[in-house]
Amino acid sequence: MLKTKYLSFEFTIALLMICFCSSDSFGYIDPSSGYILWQVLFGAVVGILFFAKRIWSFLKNFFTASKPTDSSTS
Amino acid sequence: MNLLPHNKSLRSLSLRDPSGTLFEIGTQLIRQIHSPSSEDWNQIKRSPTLKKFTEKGLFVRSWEITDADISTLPPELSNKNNNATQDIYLGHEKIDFVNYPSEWAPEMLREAGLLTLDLATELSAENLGLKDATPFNVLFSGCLPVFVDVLSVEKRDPHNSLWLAYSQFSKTFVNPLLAYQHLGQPLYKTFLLSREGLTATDFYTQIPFLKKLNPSLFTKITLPAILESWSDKKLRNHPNTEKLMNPERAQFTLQFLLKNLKRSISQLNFNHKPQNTQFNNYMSGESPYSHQQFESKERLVKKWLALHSRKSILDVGCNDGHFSRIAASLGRKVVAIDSEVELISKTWSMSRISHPTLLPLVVNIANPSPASGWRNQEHRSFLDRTQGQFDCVLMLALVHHLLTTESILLQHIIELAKELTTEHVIIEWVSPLDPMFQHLKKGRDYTHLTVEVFEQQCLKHFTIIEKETLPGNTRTLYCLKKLFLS
Repeated sequence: MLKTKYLSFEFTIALLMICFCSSDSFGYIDPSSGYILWQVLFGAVVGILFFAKRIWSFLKNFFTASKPTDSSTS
Repeated sequence: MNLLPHNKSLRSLSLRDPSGTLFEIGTQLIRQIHSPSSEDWNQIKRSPTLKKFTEKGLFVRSWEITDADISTLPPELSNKNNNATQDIYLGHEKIDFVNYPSEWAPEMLREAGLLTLDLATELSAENLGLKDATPFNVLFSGCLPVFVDVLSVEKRDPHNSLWLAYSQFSKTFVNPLLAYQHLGQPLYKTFLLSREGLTATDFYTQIPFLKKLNPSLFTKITLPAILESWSDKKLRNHPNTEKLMNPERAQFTLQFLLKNLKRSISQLNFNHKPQNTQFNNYMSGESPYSHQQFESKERLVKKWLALHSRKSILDVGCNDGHFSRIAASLGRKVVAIDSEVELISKTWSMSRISHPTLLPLVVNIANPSPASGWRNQEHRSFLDRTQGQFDCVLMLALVHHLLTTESILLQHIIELAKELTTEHVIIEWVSPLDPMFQHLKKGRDYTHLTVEVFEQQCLKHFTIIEKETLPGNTRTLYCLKKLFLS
């Protein structure tokens, strides 16, 4: 559910950005609008993975940290 | 150190990147980095990634030219722009034989692409990146790719998750490889038509509907083509080239994109289709040689290659590179050419680990790579690049193919051999009575081409050092030495 909400939010932002924003870059090669749009959409999907990974590490650290370790006493 | 012989010709080799210019001065390569990019260079040159890649021989070796030596540079170079005093000058190690993507086997283009992606991935961790991603940034030194465009490395905005060179990488690496795999379009067709490679839109129009939904093509070709068409019609402006986010997420997104690209090109399997079945593989059951003939031929070539202290060898019509590998194993630098992509792929795959000094290229000697690019001066023709480069040329089992398939006159073939070598030629004469010649002649009469006629043509430009007829009496091998008066 969280993922679906996040996905739709990201895509909305991505599409708004695509439709209303533009900027010139300093590169000398053609970045090609199709590939830029593709990267924006790809980035939105990867964003979900990024946050999922963050939540996973947070939970992992939370449960690992709550267990006392023997190494601190040795 | 006096860099410069002022009388030596100065030639600009780079035309597109405004941040610097590469010059060839005599035999030396000098890169001028213009201000303000020269300020960034001071950070870039300390990159541990560049150091690591340079040590592995994957990034071109460079050195800064000191102030004292700058004064010895030609005036037209040091006055190239008004801020020349802030410019930095680098010397570069030269690659023995310049080669272009139109001459590579698909496996070589993939290897160059993987090098580009590895470099971009590791640089991104240092807030550096590649501002362009074209195979022209890579040269093969023997079988190994070397990234040669130092100025491609730039500072990266850690907040930006987009890679502006992604489009160029797709057009010049991914799409040409997919076009070879799915359409059978060889790289020379792609790159001789356009040095910018193949756009997703052009590719999209060439494939049938069902193929557009093929998983390997959908995200690489279909979606970018649809988005390109949509943005052309619907968007007034080019989309924003910055997608800013926190640096950790930007780095994660960029590296995910690079890894995804790496995975997709690593997984490509090239099912080579032989273009021309008349060329037989020496090692296959269809070999035109008997075991005894082949052994004699191998013995002679080995003997003649070892006879003189030759440094660089050109193997014309190398087939699967068997004799090129023999030359390479004698410590020679070898460029092996053949018109068949399949054979060059095989030669590269067989040689890359065991014979790193062997450079295999897809070149048809009857129609070699032309000069191309801006004013026909950006990429030199194949024949121009061979001038003075090879002290021995191998032309084994080639002459009869040129005579029949390409309809080239014998005298022109011998003249070409003279132009390609600075000293020796090892050449095989196949008589019109040979079964292979009989197969190729297709009803035409070549009986006037006797071994005597062949020798007469050779003697116009060469002396015959040694010759030996192989068992069977239809094939003769010659070791020729170039006459310098001709």
